[in-house]
Amino acid sequence: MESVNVIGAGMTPFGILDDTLIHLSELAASKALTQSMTLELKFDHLVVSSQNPDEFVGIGHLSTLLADRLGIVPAGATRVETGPSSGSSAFEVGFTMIASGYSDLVLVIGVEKMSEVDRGTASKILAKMMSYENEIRYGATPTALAAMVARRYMHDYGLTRDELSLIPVKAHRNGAKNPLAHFQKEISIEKVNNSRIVAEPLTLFDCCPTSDGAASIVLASDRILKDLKLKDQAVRVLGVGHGTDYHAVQHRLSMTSFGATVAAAEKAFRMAKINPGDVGICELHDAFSILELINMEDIGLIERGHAIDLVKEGKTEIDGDIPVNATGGLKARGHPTGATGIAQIHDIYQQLVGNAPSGLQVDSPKIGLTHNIGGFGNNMCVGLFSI
Amino acid sequence: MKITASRCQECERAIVPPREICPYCGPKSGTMDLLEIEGEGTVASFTTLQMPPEGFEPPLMMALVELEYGAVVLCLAKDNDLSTLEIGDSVILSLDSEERFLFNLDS
Repeated sequence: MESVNVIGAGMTPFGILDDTLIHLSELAASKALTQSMTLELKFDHLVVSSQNPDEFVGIGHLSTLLADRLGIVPAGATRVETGPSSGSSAFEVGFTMIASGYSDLVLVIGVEKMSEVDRGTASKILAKMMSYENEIRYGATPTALAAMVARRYMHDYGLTRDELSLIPVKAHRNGAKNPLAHFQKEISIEKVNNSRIVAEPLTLFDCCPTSDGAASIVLASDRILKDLKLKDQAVRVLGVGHGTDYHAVQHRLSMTSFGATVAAAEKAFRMAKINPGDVGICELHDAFSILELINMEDIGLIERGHAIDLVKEGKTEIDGDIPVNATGGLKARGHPTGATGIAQIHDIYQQLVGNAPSGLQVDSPKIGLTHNIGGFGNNMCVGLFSI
Repeated sequence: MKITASRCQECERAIVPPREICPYCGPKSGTMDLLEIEGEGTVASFTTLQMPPEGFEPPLMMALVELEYGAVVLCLAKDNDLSTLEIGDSVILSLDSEERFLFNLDS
């Protein structure tokens, strides 16, 4: 297998934005092309991730459209969709293209523009990733499913409401220093506890927002790396893993662990030939506060029921042993679904090359991990990267 | 009430609604057997939505209920005021006019 490198990354601010989906994609790609110094090179392929541009903004055939707008015709172009893990899946496709020797230079763009439709319509579009027969027609929502997971986790492991609130508080503390984050404001435990209940026991501040935004990365073979003399800013892809779980929550084998994460993480660590203890910084998919704790356990950072101990001891902070979501996570950075997986890789890339926002740079991390969830917890990708 | 489920000949786990291929064992274990299971079980977890989707009124209470042979189903509360409900409680299932499962405390 050929080595695969990330040689540049760019992203737009995340939030409720005036820019169109096309313009957001152009902005993110332009930053990634500039950082990777590939503006004048010929790309073999463009891989685009977007969960549902057809329904959010009425745009179809997005991969060709973007190849045209970015001036990289006749590069091959493909759109990848696995729900909110579309970004990581697009990265996975780009990775395999280079690892197999099929391509040398691949541009990956993740984008979603969710604010053009009203809240009810956005919820309906997002709900399509759940089971109609067993969930949607009962009025279940992703938050309701997360709430039942949270209640069961609290029952089994004794997690308290105040402890769970530490997750969004940390996300907002980091997001406050991230100039690209959707929310750049600190919050308190009381604010989380006392905000409007969405689905008991989860409040509004346990849930990530829906956002607009785009992120982009440039993937290159060692051959390109050598030609461009970009070794100092190349981040090596050590491992990639992808797994699924059963579609409806009621058919899963556990309520407090996600089998798709366990499978994806095992594959990624096996490919990378490293262990969870080797990871220096993580981007974990915290669409709901409880997920951050379960993800830490499913990836193998800590034994079952004890993720909150690492949080309380400060180990997941910027200056801790294993910083988690240093740029605010989905909760504060925002969640333009198709863009999130690429934004996670963007943020890990900038951390590894020492280019993170002021106050968020972790002290010389060597290995970074990304974890992205699609569906409600049933289509997960894990990536491992090293400088 | 009896609930129609399918059960795998290999892992012996039941699943609702019934289907042909066991999702846990795959096609190698053959076609699943149809069977009727009891409409009673225990609460695995539950929530009350205060912000339900369009077409539903808050508060909307729902629970995941574990039945025989490991089958689990999502159910709506027959009475949305079950303030004392706890994980592990025994419940009885019924159907509403749209063929959705409902649960109520087993008194």
